[in-house]
This record gives sequence, structure tokens and C-alpha cells, in this order.
Amino acid sequence: MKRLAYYLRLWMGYQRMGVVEMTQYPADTVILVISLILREAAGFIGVLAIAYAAGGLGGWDVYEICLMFSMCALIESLSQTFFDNVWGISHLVHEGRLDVLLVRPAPLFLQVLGDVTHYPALISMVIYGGVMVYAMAHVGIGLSAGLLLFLAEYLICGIVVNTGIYTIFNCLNFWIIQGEDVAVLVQTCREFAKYPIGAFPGVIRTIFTYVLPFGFVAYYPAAYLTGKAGNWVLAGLPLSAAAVFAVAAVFWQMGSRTYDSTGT
Amino acid sequence: MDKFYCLVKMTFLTKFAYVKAFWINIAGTFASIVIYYFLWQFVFRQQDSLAGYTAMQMTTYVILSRMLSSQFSGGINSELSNWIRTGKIGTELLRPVSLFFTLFAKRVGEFVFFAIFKGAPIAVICFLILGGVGPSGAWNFAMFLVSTCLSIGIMFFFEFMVGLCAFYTNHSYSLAYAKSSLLSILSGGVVPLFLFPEGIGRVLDYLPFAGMVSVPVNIYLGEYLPNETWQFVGLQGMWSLLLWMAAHIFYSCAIRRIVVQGG
Amino acid sequence: MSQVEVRQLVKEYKRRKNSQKLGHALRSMFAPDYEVLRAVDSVDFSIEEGEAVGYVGPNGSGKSTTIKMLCGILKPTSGSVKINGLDPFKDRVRNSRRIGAVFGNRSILWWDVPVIESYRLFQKLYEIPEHRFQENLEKFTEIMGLAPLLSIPERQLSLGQKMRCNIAAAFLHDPKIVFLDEPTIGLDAESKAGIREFIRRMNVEEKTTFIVTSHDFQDIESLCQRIVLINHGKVLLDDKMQKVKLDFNRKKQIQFEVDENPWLEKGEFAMEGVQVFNMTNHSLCFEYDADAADSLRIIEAVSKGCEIQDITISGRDIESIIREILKEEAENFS
Repeated sequence: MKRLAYYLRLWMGYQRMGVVEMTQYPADTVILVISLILREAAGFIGVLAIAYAAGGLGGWDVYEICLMFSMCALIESLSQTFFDNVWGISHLVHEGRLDVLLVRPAPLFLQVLGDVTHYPALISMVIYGGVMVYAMAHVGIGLSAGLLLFLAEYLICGIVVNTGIYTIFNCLNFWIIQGEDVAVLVQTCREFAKYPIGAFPGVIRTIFTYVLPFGFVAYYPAAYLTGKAGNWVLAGLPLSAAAVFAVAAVFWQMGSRTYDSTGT
Repeated sequence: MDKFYCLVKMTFLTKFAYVKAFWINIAGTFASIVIYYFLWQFVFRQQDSLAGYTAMQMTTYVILSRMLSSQFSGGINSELSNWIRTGKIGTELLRPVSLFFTLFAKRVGEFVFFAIFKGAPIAVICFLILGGVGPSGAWNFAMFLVSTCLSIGIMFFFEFMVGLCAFYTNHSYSLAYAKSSLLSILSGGVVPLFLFPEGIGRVLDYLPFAGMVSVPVNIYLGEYLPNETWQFVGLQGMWSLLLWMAAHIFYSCAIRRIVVQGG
Repeated sequence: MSQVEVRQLVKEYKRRKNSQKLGHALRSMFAPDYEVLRAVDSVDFSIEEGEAVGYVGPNGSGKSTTIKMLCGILKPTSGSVKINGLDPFKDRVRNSRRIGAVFGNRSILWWDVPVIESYRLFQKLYEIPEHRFQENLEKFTEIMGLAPLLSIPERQLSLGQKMRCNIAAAFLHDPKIVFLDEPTIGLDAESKAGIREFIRRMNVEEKTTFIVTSHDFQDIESLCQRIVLINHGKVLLDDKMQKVKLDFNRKKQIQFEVDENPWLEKGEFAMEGVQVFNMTNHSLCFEYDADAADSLRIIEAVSKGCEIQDITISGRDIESIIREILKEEAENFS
């Protein structure tokens, strides 16, 4: 309990740093927001174009696809706000900055996460939140206590799955010398999460349900909301989150133990 | 020319030094081809052709366009913005060749590496597994190659300008991402440009971005008439020239900031 | 038990061989070649509380690697490190509460925020009680003149200011041991002096143990009572500074400025254990063995022959001693 209070205080301290940092570069905030919106929009436009051309995709109409996409973007922007520095692992390792974090008496992962926060990403979260509400209205999902509870469960589990998978991949940087390609690979895999996974053949569906459960970041929850998937999603979310969390923790442990402090 | 060859070779050798990363990169490109392949398969289950494209042609489009747009990420802009961020730009400026020259040589080196070790093998493998159509003629294939080479120029000037933005912002990573997303949409790397609403599609056809993916691939598929092909290739050439000037102007403005940042 | 105990410490790195030949590079795409590099090779030493130890050696000798193992950053390949009885790698969090570390080429502060914000976060990280934090901050501010720097983001500070802020940060939590890796690298004379003064005071007043690596022998000479020399990963020398100087400083030089040198024409100046180094019409320079000859007797002898205007006696500084040891080692090595 005392530990937990310490972590919480520390985390708040890091958040404070994030805010102070943001005020240092106001112009960057704008750039960040625009780039975030564009990044998600790229796939969005692509899939919408395909859906228009084909009149829907695998039983999903355009609004349902919108809903799925905005949910995916929502998770991404939250991950960006608070967990973005898992992408920084590559730099921390290759520039030897991990040395500095390692001589401090706090868990390494907490320090890594705390080092970078992007509050501006919350703006893109608001925008995609708006898209989500708009899409929900068109699909005909009404506000209810059950919906809110589900959304809460979804947000927490979705972020854990998303960030967890990012962490697993970025941990590869402990063994591989160049990080950028890892980033490209994960981003590509995550692309699958933005499209109705039902459109893909069984092997790929299985992969994104059981191996890299990106399906739980948007597809299954959206399917649940639109009545395409049953109540099993409610159990699937926490289960996949727990599994990803466990694997990520193992990767992180192993990775940080092999850290060889390159560069002097 | 000797210097140029040396710099290209250096890039080549540096690429070799990061072998594991190279395999991952290939896996990434392969995955992205698979995604779009299946999405389009889905569409073509319901219809035989879409705006004059058959399923086979679309598969070809997917393979070639994903391949070409995999060049958008990484690249020269990250290198340049890293130099600016770490101050290494100072030493680079002291070299007896211009920054422009060094970076262009790097770009060419990366492209040659890409073409030999990634482009060709993956394309062949994907064609064999997923099925696709060959070029619609020898002339088309030749023009496809010409167009692709021109597109390196366009790409380079873009990357160069995006990289220079590091003088003004700390978020060069976000910019790099925004760049690759934007380029893949506007170049037709995600969906063919004709799928966009009529007016927008037309405009995009004539913007420089189309020259990076849409134009070469459509030439390959024989979607353009011969005189259209010449027009598009000519347009690419013109854009390269314009962007070349823009990049130089931006460069001379940005480089003044080094003095301000020094210390 | 000593505060720091290092036993048979070894660290090996695996390094990939890169080839400049295209053919080799191609082959290495599929089967990379590795070579094993032994950076630290069976190192032993122990350090008592309150000691200030200079850990020196040329570039690539294994200094930084050793320091990193002591801090718990790197896992030793074999052998053991104990700091206050703790294994720094296994007990990283507990150990790091009691140690401080400064890396000359790497900042421990946050680049974009005012220095005081970084200090505040350190307070949370190390759970420093508020009154202790204020006391330390006040003291450090006074010694190193930090007051005007605290509200400025680190990126806008000069190198010397940055280093002072970094060093203060490493001491905020009252560490028992502080590792300083090249603390004065690239600094001007004034900043160096300020930093040395601070470190010396902390060593005397707070009994803080120091391990300093530096290429600036003035740092080592002015801060440390003991010196450990390492090269090719092996300890070559581990002794008190004074003793090292005495041991290696038996040969001294004495130089005279005189009105007229009578020995220039008469020839030999004979005395046991003294060699003539060079002489001119107005100066004499001898090299003598401190054990066999005595400077007073030389002065006496010289003053009999002429009028002395100035005398300089010089021993060698620690830097040239170290250089000589390394040179000898290199000769034995080959």
C-alpha cells in the first residue's frame, strides 16, 4: 500500500513535468495534434473509400466502420497521452540514456512512461470522441448505464492491450540495434485493428484474436456495440488485457536485464 | 561522381549492419500487402470489376503500391532531423560536399538497397503467392521504371523539407508520421486515387504525390494511354524541378537558424 | 566489512564484426560474426566509508564499465560487487537510494523544464523529507552559486552551469556513495574549481564516499586520497596517492639560476646519486635520486661555487607517473 502511494505520488510528479514541458513549446502542441489526427485519418479515408466503393465491408456499413475507427483512434490517443514513451525505448537503449534512469530508486518502467507525456493528444481524443458519438447516434445506440460501464471496461482493457503490444514489440529494441523498423512493423500490424477483422481469412483472424489481440482494441468491442458479437466480448476484453499485460511484463523484464549500456 | 558512388556505397554498408532490423522491415511491408489484399478480395467477392480494374489488377496495384509507399517511412527526413536535433549538422556542413548532395546520395543508396533486396524479391514472392498481372507491355514496364526513378527525386525533396522542420519543432517524429500518413493517402498508396470523389481524385492526380505511387503503378497496369503516360511523366519532371527549388529556398531560410541556435 | 567490495569482477561484451567488403557484408546478413571483448577482467578492490578514490585509465580501459556495474546498470559476467552488503544489480532499487551518480556526458536532469522542477521530482523519487530537501538545496545553492539558475530550463544553461546543477541533483538525497564519471569534462577552469570545492566539502563534512573517473589529473590529485589505475580491464595499481607519488617520485629535478656557472668550463660536478641534466652559463639542472642524495647538500655544494639567484625543485606530477606506468605496461604487453 505504501509502495502504491509512492508510485502514485511519483506519477503525479511526472505528470506535472509533462504540463510544464508542454508550456515550453506552444507551437509544437499544434504540430503534434495535427500529426495525430492525420495519422489516424490515413487509414480512415482508405477504408471509407473501400466501403463506399463496395457498399459496406463484410456486413459492416459505413457508420459502423466509423464507430470502429473512432474507437480505435480514441484508444490510440489515450495511449499517446500517457504511454507514448514505450516508443522511446529504442532511443533510451541506443543512446544509453537508460543508464540515468537505472540509478534512480524507482521501477524503470514507471520512469520510462513518466518521461514523456503528450497532453495535446487529448485534443485528438476529443475529436475522435465526437466522431464516435456521431457514429453511435447513426447506428442507433442509446445512452444507458450499461453502455457507460461497457465503455469504461473497454477503455481500460483496450489501452492495456494496445500499450502492452507496443511494449512487447518495442522491447525488441533491447536485442536489435535499429528501432525504427520495429515501429513500422507494429504500426503495420496495428493497421489490421482498424479494419473489420471479419474480412480477413481465418488464420489472420486467429492471429489478431489470440496471438496479437489487436482485435480487442476496436473490432470486437465495436461488434459488441452493434450487436454483431455476443456477451463473450465482456469476458474477452479483460482476459486478453491480462494476457498481453503478462507477456509484456516478461518481455520487459528480460529486455531490461540484457541491457548492455552501449555508447559511453 | 566518385564521391557520389562512395556515399551510396556507405549507405549500402550501413544498411547491412542492421540485418535483423531489415528482416523486420520486410515483414512489415509484407503484412501491409496482406491486409489490403484481403480487403480488396472481400470487395471483389461481390463484383467482378471496379472502375475498370479486375481483381488481378487490383492485387497488382496493392503489391506495387504498398511496396512503393513502404519507402515513405523512415528515410532522409529522420536522418536530417536527427542531425539537427543533436547538432551533428554542424560537422556535416563543414564537409566539402553540400548537405543536399550527401543526403541525396544517401537517398539513392537507400533506394537501390530497397529495390534490390526488398522490392524485387517481395514483389516476385507476392506475385507468385497472391497472383497478379505482369506489366501490360515492355514499353509500359520501361516507363514504370522511369517514373519510379523520378519519384525518388520528388520523395527526396519532400523528406528534405520535412527534415528541415526540425529547426522549428521538437516533434520531428510526429511530423515524420504525419508525412508518411499524408503521403500514403495522397499518393494513392492506401486506395487508388480514382476511388476518391470525382473532383478530389482529379486534383490528386495532378499533385506531385501521385507521382510517387499512383502514376508508376497505373503506367505498369497500362491504365494510361501512351500520350497520357508522357504527360504524367512530364508532370512528374516538372514537379521535381519545382520542389527542387522550393527545397533550396526553404533550406537557405532554415540554415540561418543554426547561427541563432549555436552556443 | 568495507562499504564497497569488488571481487574478481569480469564483464564481457559481444561485438558484431562489421566488414567493409560488400561480399562479407552480404554474408553477414544471414550469419553475423561476433567477437568477445573482455572490458573488465578480474578486478578486485574495496573501498572504506569516507574514502575518495580516483579511478583512472586511458579511454576504453574499462573504467566506465566498472562504474556502471557498481551503480547496478550492468550485470557482471562473473564475480561480485557488494555495496553496503547489497548486490547493486539484483537490489537495484534499494541500492540506488543510497548512491548518487553523475555522468559527465549525460544529464540526469530533465532537459525542457526549469532546474527546480527537476529537483522537485527528485524529491519525490527519493522521498526526501521537505526540511532535508530545503537544507540541502540551500547549502548547495550557496556553495555552487545555483540561485540564479534554478528557474531556467536546463537546455538554456551553459555547460558549466549544467554540470553544477547536475552535481547538486546527485547529492539531494544524501547519498552515502557518489560515482562521478568525468565530472569536469569540457569545463573551464573556474567551473572545475567550483565543482572540486563542492565535492571536497561533501567528502569532509558529510563523509560521503567518492569514486571519481577523470582524464583531468588535477581532479584526481585535488580530490582523491587513493588512486586505482586500470588498463585493458585489469587493475595495474591501487594505492594511496601520497605513496604512489613517493614511490614513483624518487627521481627529482633541481634547477638553479646562477650569476656565473663555474662548472661549465671546469667540467664535472661530482656528487653521489646526482646526474647533470643540462647546464648553460647561467643555469644548472640536475636530476637526483631522493633516496641517495639530499637537495640541501646539492644546494650547499652549488652555493660554494657561485651565487644562486633562483632554485626550482620539481617532482613529477601524478599524470606523468601514470603515463610512465602505462608505457611500461605497454612494453611488457608486447
